[in-house]
Amino acid sequence: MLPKTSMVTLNINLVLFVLLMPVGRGETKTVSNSTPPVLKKFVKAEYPRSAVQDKVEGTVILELHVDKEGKVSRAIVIESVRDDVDRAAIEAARRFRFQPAMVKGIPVGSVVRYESSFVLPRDNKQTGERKKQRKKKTIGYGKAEAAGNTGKPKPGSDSDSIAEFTQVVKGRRPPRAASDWRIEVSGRLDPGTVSPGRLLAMAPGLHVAQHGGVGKAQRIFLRGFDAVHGQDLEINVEGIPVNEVSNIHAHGYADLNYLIPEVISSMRVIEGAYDPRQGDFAVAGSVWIDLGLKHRGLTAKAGGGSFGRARALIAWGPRGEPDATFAAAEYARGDGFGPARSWNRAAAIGQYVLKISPGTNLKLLATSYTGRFASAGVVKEEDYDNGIQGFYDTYDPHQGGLSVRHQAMAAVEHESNGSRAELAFHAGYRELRLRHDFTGFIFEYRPIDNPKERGRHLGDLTEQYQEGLTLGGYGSYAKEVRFRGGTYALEAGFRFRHDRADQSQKRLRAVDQEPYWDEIEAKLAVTDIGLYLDAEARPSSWLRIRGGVRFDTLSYIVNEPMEYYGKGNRRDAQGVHIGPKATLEFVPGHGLSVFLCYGNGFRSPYGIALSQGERTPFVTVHAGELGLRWRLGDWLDVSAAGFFTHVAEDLVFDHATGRYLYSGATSRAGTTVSAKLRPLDWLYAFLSGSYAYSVLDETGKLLPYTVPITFRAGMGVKRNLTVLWGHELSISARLIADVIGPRPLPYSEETNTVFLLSADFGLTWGDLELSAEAFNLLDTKWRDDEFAYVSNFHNNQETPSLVPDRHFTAGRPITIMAYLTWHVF
Amino acid sequence: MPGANRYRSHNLVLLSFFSLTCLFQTSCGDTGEQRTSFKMAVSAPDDMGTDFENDLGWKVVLDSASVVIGPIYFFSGEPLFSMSRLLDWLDPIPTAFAHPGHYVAGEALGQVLDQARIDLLSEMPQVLGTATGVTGLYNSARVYLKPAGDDTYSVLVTGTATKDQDHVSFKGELDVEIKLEGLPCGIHVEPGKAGGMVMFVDPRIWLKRVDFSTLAGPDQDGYMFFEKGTSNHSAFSRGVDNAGAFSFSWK
Amino acid sequence: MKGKSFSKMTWVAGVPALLMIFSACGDSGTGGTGSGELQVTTWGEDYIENNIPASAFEDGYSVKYAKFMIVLGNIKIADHSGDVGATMSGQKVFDMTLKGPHQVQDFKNIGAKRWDRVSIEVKPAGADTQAGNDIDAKDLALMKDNGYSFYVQGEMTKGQSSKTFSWGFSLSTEYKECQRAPEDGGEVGVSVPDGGTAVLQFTIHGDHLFYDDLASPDAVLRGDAIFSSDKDQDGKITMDELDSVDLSSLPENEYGTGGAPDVYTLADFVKALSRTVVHFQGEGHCHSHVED
Repeated sequence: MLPKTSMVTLNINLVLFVLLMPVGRGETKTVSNSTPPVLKKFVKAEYPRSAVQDKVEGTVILELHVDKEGKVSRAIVIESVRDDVDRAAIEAARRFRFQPAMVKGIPVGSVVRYESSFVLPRDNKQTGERKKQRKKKTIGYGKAEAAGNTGKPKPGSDSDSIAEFTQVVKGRRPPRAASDWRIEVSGRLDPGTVSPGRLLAMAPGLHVAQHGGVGKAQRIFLRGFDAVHGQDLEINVEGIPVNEVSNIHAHGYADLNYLIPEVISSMRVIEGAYDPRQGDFAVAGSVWIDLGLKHRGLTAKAGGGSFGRARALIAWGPRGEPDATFAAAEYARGDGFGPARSWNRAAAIGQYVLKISPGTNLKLLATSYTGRFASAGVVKEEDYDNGIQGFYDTYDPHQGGLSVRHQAMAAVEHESNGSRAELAFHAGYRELRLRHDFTGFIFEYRPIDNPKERGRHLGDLTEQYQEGLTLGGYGSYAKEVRFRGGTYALEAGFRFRHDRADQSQKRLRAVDQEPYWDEIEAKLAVTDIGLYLDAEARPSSWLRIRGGVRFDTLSYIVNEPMEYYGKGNRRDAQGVHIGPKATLEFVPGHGLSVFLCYGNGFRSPYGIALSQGERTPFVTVHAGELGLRWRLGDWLDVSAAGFFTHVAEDLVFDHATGRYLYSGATSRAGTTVSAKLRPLDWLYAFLSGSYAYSVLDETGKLLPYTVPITFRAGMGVKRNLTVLWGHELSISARLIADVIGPRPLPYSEETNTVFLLSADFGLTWGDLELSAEAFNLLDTKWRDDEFAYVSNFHNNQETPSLVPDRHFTAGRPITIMAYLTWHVF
Repeated sequence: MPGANRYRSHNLVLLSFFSLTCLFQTSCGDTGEQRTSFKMAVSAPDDMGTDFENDLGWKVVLDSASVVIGPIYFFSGEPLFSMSRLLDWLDPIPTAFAHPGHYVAGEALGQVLDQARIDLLSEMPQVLGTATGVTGLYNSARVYLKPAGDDTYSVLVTGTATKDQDHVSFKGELDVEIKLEGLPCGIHVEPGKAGGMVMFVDPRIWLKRVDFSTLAGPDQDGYMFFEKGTSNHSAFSRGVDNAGAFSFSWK
Repeated sequence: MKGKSFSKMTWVAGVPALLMIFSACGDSGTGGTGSGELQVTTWGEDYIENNIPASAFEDGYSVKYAKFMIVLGNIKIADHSGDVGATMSGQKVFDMTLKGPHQVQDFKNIGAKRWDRVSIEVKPAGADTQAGNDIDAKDLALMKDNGYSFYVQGEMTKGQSSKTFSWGFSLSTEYKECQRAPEDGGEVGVSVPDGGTAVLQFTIHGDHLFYDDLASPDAVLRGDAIFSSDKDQDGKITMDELDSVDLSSLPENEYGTGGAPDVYTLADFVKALSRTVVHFQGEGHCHSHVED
């Protein structure tokens, strides 16, 4: 029926953990027990006369979006030959008709990769006048043989690609910039377990520290930003914001510990603020996480390791349901690698996708989490040098916290020919109690009503408590049209969130941890309503223009009942931010893309620091980038970008006093480079590095605490070994090296350079999986985080040291975990 | 707003320039001040001889003047009064205060945690210890005078005072801890600056308002002394408390 | 060939231009471009308008001011980057015993943002000094003729005995970087809301002249030393009489001079205290800078 040479190949979803694919936001899941699309009607492309005359030949690689009806809704040029040749290939491909891909009998959209070769007639091969085309299978994993005439893959030809293809539920959005990455997470063959923090750290240039104990939000560094606990990085999970507005401990506090890593299907990291969908806290960039459980059936996983670590997990993905339908629960604990570091947590996540009608899905999500942890705090560098304090010791064992989070979401998605719509609502409850003691005995008690007590140092142990509710939602509508040979897409959407919080900060006595001083008490009601418009134009194959604008209205009501001797201080403010964004992408061909981007973003202010009637209660961010992306087949993906970010009024967080200070305008410039290689189908390597130079505009001085240089390199193997007793045996292993360059500290000092080596190993046999991971293989003594400020831990009131000193939090020594995973059914 | 667009032309160019030159040096710029240490010495003012005349007409000759000093802290906060010029012993300037107790010390920039007995009649400045801290403008200082080690006193001065026919051999001694806050310093400690800081303590100021004719004693060593509760003791004690006795310089 | 409907040049030229337009209109920063009103007032509170009751004094004295005149001027409302929002350059004399608060200046059209560098001066009255509130013409002349920056006249009473005092001060002090008290939020400067009014008050604390310590935060009000300085027993306490009292004659635990240089007499002490009467928004304070 089909010509011998008309082959359709399947797009291989790269299932490996660290392979970064710039394919934009959308849910890409791999499913088993499904069938790929089958080509029913093939249309031969016309070889343009102008190309023949110019003796132009080559292979045009296209990405075809096949909808649920089997029609080609979109054809995107991945590799171009020339304008006219590309157009000829597209025109023909658009007339293809497929039998759509199926998941358990339900037609779904899919993406196929198609190569259209234009070969000039050679004397000894073809007859003169007629143009010929030859279609061949795409190069994948080094296997070049055709998969057959019918367009179905040959079973067993490539174990990774058995019945795997991408299933598209939402529309795919192409990358916004050269530093817009998608990290595919879940995969059957991945070893070990990865915490959300280490997951974030997989993105190039993103560095994560954990100075407060397992259970506290990570400290994030990106693009020259010390995002503290999330003030400069917008994090969403299934569209639900994770950052907490005006959290008592840190603005934008993003506690990812409620996520169970096994149900994260992918993570999109956008560095920079170039997408109109990016909102509050997207100063350095955004991370958007999608949930899904790849393996269908029941999975049980348990393991343990160093320092009393133990973890048990049950996950269930009903067969016949998409990856987005799952339920999972976990319990984990550990004693910690030193005193005052024990922790335990329990989490449960469930999501259900219900098909309402063709093209329309209802998604319901619920998550629940509670975690309690102890924290060792800091060690003063001087005390460590003098042998007074060990590297892993603690001054105050009463530090730690408890974090609780419950949330639910309902979302409706609809996709039909050329358009896509979604609407979602979510509600969440959150409670956080933190106790920390960074300074010892610096705080001077000065009660107004008791002069005798004045000047005493009762201890700096600080309790911060926050309880709150977040309500929000989002919706969008996108449509794509074709006009005069070009493709144009328009999207309009909204995002809103309303946060209410009760917060307090108290000082606790060193002797009995009873509160003796109320420092802060506040109630907040914060609303952020955002509207965005996004347009994309592809007037020709070599040019893509994306631009949009986002409008946000922020309003605040802040009440501090204790102020003014109990009369209270209530104030309100409201303002509007308009943020235009634009990206130009030039596609000269040969897998190259050049990006030029500009974005205007914002960050909401810290509630307590607001004054009455402030007209612009937010901070403006200007970001720009010039980037390059180069992809060659599946085996090379290189990106490089130079960026610039300016923040109008930056926030500097003083850990010692727990206060925010507006430092003034800051500017950052730098570069990010990343490369992924896959020389063989079972061997891959990657490296990435970033450099950022960050200064305070007013003085031109370097900003302390930022991370100027990071570098990461790794390689891994993933291979099927043999078939043992009727079951497939496969192995995977990975080695990663991290270098974190010296970071500037106040007083023109630097932190130590950190070098860490980590490794993963996994062995899969049928339904069983044995995995192990080792962190800090060389067992180096490294400093997770370093600070410079005044402290007095020994309550030495005779001759206390009052000048700022260096402090550090100890990084984790070698930690090994081993797991056994059983895919029960 | 005038400031808002500054960054576009000015800082953008500067930043690109810095980025290029600092491409491979992470600490090319600095984050502000630097850690530093310097020697801290104490002495009497240069112009001090051993004899002088006080406000009440007594001619005083000092045999000994020593003080146990330490610790000393330097702060960024402006002293309780800011002076347009340094205190000049010969031409006292009226003082000013913000508010009792409203001296805001601010950040501690430097400190000397050592304690030592300083002989103010010694020719050369005596080193109290090594100060550690960070560079910056040391606006004000907090100085402790308190007994330490073998010394039971914080301040000790002996000598003779003569007026008309009266000739008194006196000893002034304080054994309490004295804390002096907000002493004006005003020295900019710069990175890599050679030399050290000298604190001048002027014992003449201690005896400025003392009337030697009404001292108590003599004690077992033959000295006339300041009895607690008398106005002479008060004058002596207030003299020691007088911030005018202290000044700082970099040498 | 079909498809070349947009010329490349149009795109190359037009899109950057579009970007420029967008970026310009998106820049709103944190300063805001609105405007509001800022009223600068001054007030003597109850201690000056009525009296300082005996319960406030450690030794049972009470003080009633008949006149409490202070020269306020050279107000500057600016921010830390140097932008100046408004200034008042002249000087005005206020008698704080009159019922206040009194308006010093009303800045009607000042930028709506946070102004964190607020400063004011107290300087001797000059030829151009005007009356700030309803003060007597003779009092205004008194200030100008004597070059006073600050003048008080009143009565001290304990039990049946009472004495009067009248003191003039010619000191110059600048008060800058004014900040609210920590218990009131510690806000530096003032924040003007868009389309609204903010009030900034320089509160004058009349009791400061009677503190018994220059440095200690635990200073209390005392009247005895001042009351007893009336050497000629004429019922009037003059500045010269204060100057004749050496602090060494006072109890050692009172009238501490802290880190102040050269405060020897009660007159030196009261003069030092006179610089401390100006406060900010109630209990807040400013850095004071000696100018003479």
